Amino acid sequence: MFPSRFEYVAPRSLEEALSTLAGRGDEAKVLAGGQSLIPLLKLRFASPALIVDLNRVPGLSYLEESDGHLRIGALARNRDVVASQTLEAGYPTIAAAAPLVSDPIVRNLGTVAGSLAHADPAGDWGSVMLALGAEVTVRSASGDRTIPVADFLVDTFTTSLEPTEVITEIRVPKPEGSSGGTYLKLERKVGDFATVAVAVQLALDDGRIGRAGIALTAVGPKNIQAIDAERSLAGAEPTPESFQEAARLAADAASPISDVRGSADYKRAVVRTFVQRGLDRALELARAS
Amino acid sequence: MSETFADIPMIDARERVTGAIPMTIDQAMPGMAHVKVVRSPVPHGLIRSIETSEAARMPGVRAVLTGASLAELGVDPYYGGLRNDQPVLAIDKVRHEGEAVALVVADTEAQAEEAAGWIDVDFEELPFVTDAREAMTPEAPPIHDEWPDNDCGTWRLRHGDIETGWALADRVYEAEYTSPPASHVPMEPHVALARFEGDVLEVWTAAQAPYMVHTALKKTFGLPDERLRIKTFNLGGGYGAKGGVKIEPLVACAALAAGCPVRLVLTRPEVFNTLGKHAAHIALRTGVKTDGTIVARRVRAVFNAGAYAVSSPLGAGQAMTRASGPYRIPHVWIDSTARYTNTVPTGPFRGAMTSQLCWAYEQQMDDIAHDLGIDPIEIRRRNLLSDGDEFITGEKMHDVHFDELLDDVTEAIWSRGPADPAPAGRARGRGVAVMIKSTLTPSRSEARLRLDDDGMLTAFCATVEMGQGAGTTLMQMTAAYTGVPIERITIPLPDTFQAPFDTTTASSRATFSMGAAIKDAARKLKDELAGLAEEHLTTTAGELRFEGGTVFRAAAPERAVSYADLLREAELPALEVEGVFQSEGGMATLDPETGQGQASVHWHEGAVAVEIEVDLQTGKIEVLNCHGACYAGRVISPTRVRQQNEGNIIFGLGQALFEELVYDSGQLVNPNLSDYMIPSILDIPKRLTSSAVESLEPDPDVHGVGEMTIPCIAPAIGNALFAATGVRIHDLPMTPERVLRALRAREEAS
Repeated sequence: MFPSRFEYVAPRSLEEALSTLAGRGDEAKVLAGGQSLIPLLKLRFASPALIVDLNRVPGLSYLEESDGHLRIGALARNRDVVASQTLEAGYPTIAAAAPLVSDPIVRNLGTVAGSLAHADPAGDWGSVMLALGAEVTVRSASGDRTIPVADFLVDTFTTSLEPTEVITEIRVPKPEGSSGGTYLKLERKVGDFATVAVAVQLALDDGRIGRAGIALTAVGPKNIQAIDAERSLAGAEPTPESFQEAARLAADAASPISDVRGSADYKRAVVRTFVQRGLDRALELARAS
Repeated sequence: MSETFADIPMIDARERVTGAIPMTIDQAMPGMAHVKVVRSPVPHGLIRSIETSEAARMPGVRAVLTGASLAELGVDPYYGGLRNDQPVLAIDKVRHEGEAVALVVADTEAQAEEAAGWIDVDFEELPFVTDAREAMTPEAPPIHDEWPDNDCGTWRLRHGDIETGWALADRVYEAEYTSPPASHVPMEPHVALARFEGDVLEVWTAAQAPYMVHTALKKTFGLPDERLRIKTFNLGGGYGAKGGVKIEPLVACAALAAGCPVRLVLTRPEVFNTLGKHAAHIALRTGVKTDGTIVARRVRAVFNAGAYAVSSPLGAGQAMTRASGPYRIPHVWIDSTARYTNTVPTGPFRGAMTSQLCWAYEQQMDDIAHDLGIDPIEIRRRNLLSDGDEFITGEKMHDVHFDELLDDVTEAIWSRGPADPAPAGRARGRGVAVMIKSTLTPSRSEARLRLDDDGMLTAFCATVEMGQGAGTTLMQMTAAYTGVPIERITIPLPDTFQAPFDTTTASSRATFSMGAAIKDAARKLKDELAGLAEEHLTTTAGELRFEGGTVFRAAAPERAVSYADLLREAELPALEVEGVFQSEGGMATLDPETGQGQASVHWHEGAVAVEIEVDLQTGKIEVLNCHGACYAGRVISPTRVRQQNEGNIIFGLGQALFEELVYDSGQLVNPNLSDYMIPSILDIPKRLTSSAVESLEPDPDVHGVGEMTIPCIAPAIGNALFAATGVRIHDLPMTPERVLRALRAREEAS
């Protein structure tokens, strides 16, 4: 199918982009990697009158650590995250997820920020960022604001981003002390959306569990933060029993639907398996760190 | 004398990778308009009315056509190779969701699409049926009035005496196995262009069988041969999807209605709606002696033909001859049938009418072995066909190499000793499967060779290059058979104005059949050259040799004379010869009551062994090691045989592990490449190897190699899963969920 007609602008600066959005944000869509937007246009699931292409805006492709955060610029590609050598030690959850995002062709263009902005419940980055307690910095012509990812992801394909705003950066707090995490994904084949995926992040505090982050992909209307499971772990001993209980609570938090990728029951069972496996792996990494 | 074939890479490998090879989808005819098709949203219904006047007034629209208006064009509105049951556009009734109901021709694709959206069709919905076994019941809605019980081809085979067989058996095993519908997913969609040029209808199409298109369009338009020209280009994959005739009658009718050249490219959902793989239900009952010898086998096979016959009336019979596997069984009873349903028509699909059966008999073989305490490899050895054995069709088998294939694949996977221990929470196992498949019989290939007086040779043949490398392989054969160096040979793209008749590029027959036609033509060419060379070859000592584009006596190579010189001396601008291959027998010649006779000119043989790892908590299967083998008779190109064997395995992994067309309320729910996925390069086993077994005879038949490992991959994995975990999956695909459910069910049972 052909996309509906649209106007296309490619601003050379963020200011220019923001002033365009200030006037016409309601009828515009912002293009970064395009890996979700272009198929939506082609299938006419989206018919914006205006496309604002950010790709010529300089200075948004960074992936760097400063002031206790990993900062991921709006145009950092999945490919850049896969290639980064520095993430493995400090951010193993991100390092584990990046190579599982779609396939190499999509990763070459697709961006982390674009994935969050698209808010597909089967998107991988939403869960990773929830588990890590990340924030999204957004900007409009009238200034910046910072939104926790948990508040940013509102519903299926819906975020708290205003039509006049763009994401400028994702800020991931550096996990403190002994910590570990991972991302586990079940897919029918390489490049498929997740049947189920789980992000797990665990920090140890004097042998006990400090902060725990658990988030679920493709088992609800959006990426789901398994809050009860996280709470059950906070302050607990990292034992097989506490992990089993957290896995049970996480499976309860999932609300999957049956589709071509599997039945709801099956997906819930995989959530349970993956949370438990993820916690085991996170603990192993935390103890080694 | 046996020729030497110099293996060369595909002659246009670089152009393929850079996208420079000519393909139908890249062609344009001057002044062409574009076709869009309006399709049925309902699975079964009467067409009450079609409102086209709005669409006809839209910008750029040149013609709007419906089933009812085909009559005004003066064309025969029905086509179909075996049954003339498929309308170019639905007439009065639609029989599957996605069936073509109307078309629009407009100046641009966008205009055609826009206008197509304004065509309003009013349907009266009818009860529908999507399952082939339901379609056999008296309650099922009739899909074609002339075919009661929705019968789309029913065959029976009676060999020996089944009751005697059961009496001989110490144990009897029964099980049922199913395969879902699947899609070929060639990367290039169906595409065709058509124009009336003077009084000639010219059609350029991405088709595997230019002469089947030719035959069909002759009938549609009532044209003599000289007024119909079919051309094909390089195909971006076929796998059976582009066999026979597909969109060509529709595109040619559009050209006639619009009065200008037209082009139609199907969208991906339309490709899914054009042809699929036969879903199948196989009920297998096998009687064995306690030593594992099979003495009796009954097979009841039901195939889903979809809404139109296509190849099913024949396919159900081919399936029958392949249903009991590559085994020596004295008492066999087979009923095989295809039934119409309100689903996408089904037809040839790489490993057609074989994969569904191999999935059944090879898994049951391991269950029998397990129950009798016999090694799965050993039980096969005790039953595999050998040269001189009588097959279930009564024909005496020749050129049989199943033992060698079994040895080859098991050696490759088992030779490294016991499987490495699996990581915690996982299990590993190995499995094997062997298959037998007939090739299309009877069939005919003709080739024309033209040697020019500059020494250049052109081989005209209608074999279609679809990525399998047939063009290069036939070039190697032409070089070997004619003695013309390969760099002086050209094989033009198929064009029915130039290339003589060929049945089809399918059923792994091109190298075998067209190769034989070229060999026949080459023999005639060399006879003529020998005649011309007589005065040069002053000695009669030594055999006549044709090498390097020259002819000479072995005893006097210094007297060699070039073909070019011979033609120039004789003042012949060119020498032309034609060669033919024709096979006899086949399904139509079998006894209709017993299925006895010569079913295939020769039999295809293949085997696969795998080692898998299964995640016991998710059910996900990973293939670690895989080795496939085929019997090739004589290998022309080791590279391309390996690529076929391994390409087969990669292709078949999809149907084994995750591919399935899903219907809900008669609607296909996953006709796109996001919901229906196929394996990519990143999904292939960690270690994937293959071999080809060759004949030791001096001048053996060349055997096709296009489908020899695909039927084996799913049952080999199924058997490996059983070895690893003790669970048996009866329904394809082996999704993680099915495996996990089977594992949990077994836990609960124990």
